[in-house]
Amino acid sequence: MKSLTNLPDIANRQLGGLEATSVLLAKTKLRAAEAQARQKPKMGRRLAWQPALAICTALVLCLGATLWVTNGTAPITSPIPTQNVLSSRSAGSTEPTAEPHRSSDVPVGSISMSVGGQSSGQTLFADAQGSSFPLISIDGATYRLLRSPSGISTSLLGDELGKVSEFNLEPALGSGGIVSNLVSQGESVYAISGLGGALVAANSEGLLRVFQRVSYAGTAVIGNETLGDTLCSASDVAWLDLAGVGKISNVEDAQHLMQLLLDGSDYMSTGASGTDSLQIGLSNGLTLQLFVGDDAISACGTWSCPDFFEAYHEAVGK
Amino acid sequence: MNEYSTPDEDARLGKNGGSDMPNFEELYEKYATDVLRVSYFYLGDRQRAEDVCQDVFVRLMTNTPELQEGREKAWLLKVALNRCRDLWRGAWVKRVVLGSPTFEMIPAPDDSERREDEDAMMVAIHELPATFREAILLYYYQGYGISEIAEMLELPEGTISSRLSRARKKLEQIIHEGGQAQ
Repeated sequence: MKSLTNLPDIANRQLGGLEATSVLLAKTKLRAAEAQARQKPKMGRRLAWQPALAICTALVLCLGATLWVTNGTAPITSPIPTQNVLSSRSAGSTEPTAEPHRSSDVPVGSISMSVGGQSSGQTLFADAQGSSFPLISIDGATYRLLRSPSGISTSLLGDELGKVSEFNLEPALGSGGIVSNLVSQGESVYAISGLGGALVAANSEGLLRVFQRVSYAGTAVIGNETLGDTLCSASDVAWLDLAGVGKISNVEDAQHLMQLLLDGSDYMSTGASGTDSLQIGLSNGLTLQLFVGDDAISACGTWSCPDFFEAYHEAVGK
Repeated sequence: MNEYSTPDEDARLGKNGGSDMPNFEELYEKYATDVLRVSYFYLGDRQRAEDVCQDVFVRLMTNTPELQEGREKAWLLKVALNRCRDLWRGAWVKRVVLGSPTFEMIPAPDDSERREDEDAMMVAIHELPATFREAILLYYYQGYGISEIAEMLELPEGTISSRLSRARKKLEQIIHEGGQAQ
C-alpha cells in the first residue's frame, strides 16, 4: 500500500472542496447559544418577573388616572361593575371539567396506532431532531420519545425516578444522571405504573409524553437485564400487530405469543435495526414499538426469536 | 453513561487550563476542516459530516473542556470519531436497506485533474469496516502514531497495530476486486 503514505495529499486533493466555512461556524455558534439558553430556562423566568410586574403596575396606575379624568369623579365612588369576573362551582358538581380526553382515557383498542400490513415506515418513535432522536437518558438507560400518545393521564404514572439534571442537545455527551435533549432541566421523570423499565414519562411543552427504552450510543441492556426488563410481562399485553402479517386481537393469544417472545429470544447485539415493525398493545392503553428484521426484534438491543415469528404466522393463519 | 461521554476524557487527554490556550475561533479556524473531512471520509455523507463537526464544536463551546496545549486536535477528532461511530451504527437501516448517499470526491475548484487510482483508494478506504477505517484515517491521513491512536480510541496499541495491518490487507483486496469486496 505504497500510496497510503500519500493519503494526506490525496485526501486533501480529493476533498479539497470540503471546507469548514464561516457559515458552518455561524450555525455552530447558534446551536451552542441555543443549548446554553435552554440549559437555563428557569433562571430566565426568575429574572423576568420583576420588570413585568413593574410594567403591569404602571399600566394599572395609568388606566386608573385616565378613568378619574374622563369621569370627573373619583374612581372610588364609581359603581362597581356587577359582571362576574370569577365563576365558582360547588363541591360535588357533576359538571364535566374542560380537561381534554387522552388516549389512556378511552377503552383499549379505541385508538389505532397503526394500520396492519404497512411496513417499515410505520413507527411510533418520534423523528430525530438534528443528530439525535428526542430522548431521556437515565444513568445509561435511554428512552426515546413516542409520537403517540401525545399526552397521558397522571393516573398511569408510577414512581418519580428523578429530575432531569442536564439538558443537552447531544445527550450522549452528557455528564450522567438524567439527561434529555427534549425535556427541560428540572422536570420530573416518572415510571409508568407496573411497567418497570420499558416506559417512562415526562412533561414536555405541557403534556406528559411517553418515552420507550431503546439502544443508544452502543448501549442496550445493562447488567443482567433481560428482554422482559426492557419491555413488559406477557400479562400486560392486550394485542400484537406485526406489520405485513396481521394483528392478534385475542388477548389470550397475544399474551401466549408474548410469553414465547420473552422466553425464546436470544440477545444478538446492542444495535437496533429492522425494516418492519411489531407493535405491542398494552392493557393500560399504551403501545410499545419494536423493529423487526431477519427473525429478530429490536428496540433495546437486537434479539433473535425465530420461534416467535413462526408461531405468530401460525396464529394469524388460524 | 456511554462510550464517549466519559468524565475522565479530558483528564486522559490532559488538562492544564493554561491561559495560552487558543480561543474557540482559533481552534475552529485551525481544526474544523480536518474534523469535517475526517467525518466525511468516515460517513460518506456531507450533511451528517457537517452535523458532526457542529456537534464537536458545540460541545467545545458549551462544556469548555480544559485541553492540554498541543492536544486540542486529538480531543476534537476523538469526539468526532465517537459521534461518527454512533451515527454509522444508528444509520444501519438507512445505509443498508435504503442505500446511503454515494461517497463522492469533493475536489477543490482548481483541481481539474482527478486520478482514477486515487479515487479508487479513497472509495476503498470508505468501504472498509468502521474500525479499520478509523485506524487508517488517524494513522495515514491525520498522521498520528500508534500510541496516540491507542490513547484516543482507548484500545491497546497491539489492537491498533493489528487493525492497521488487517486494514491494509482488506484495502488491497477491495481495490483488486474493484471495490466489490466487503
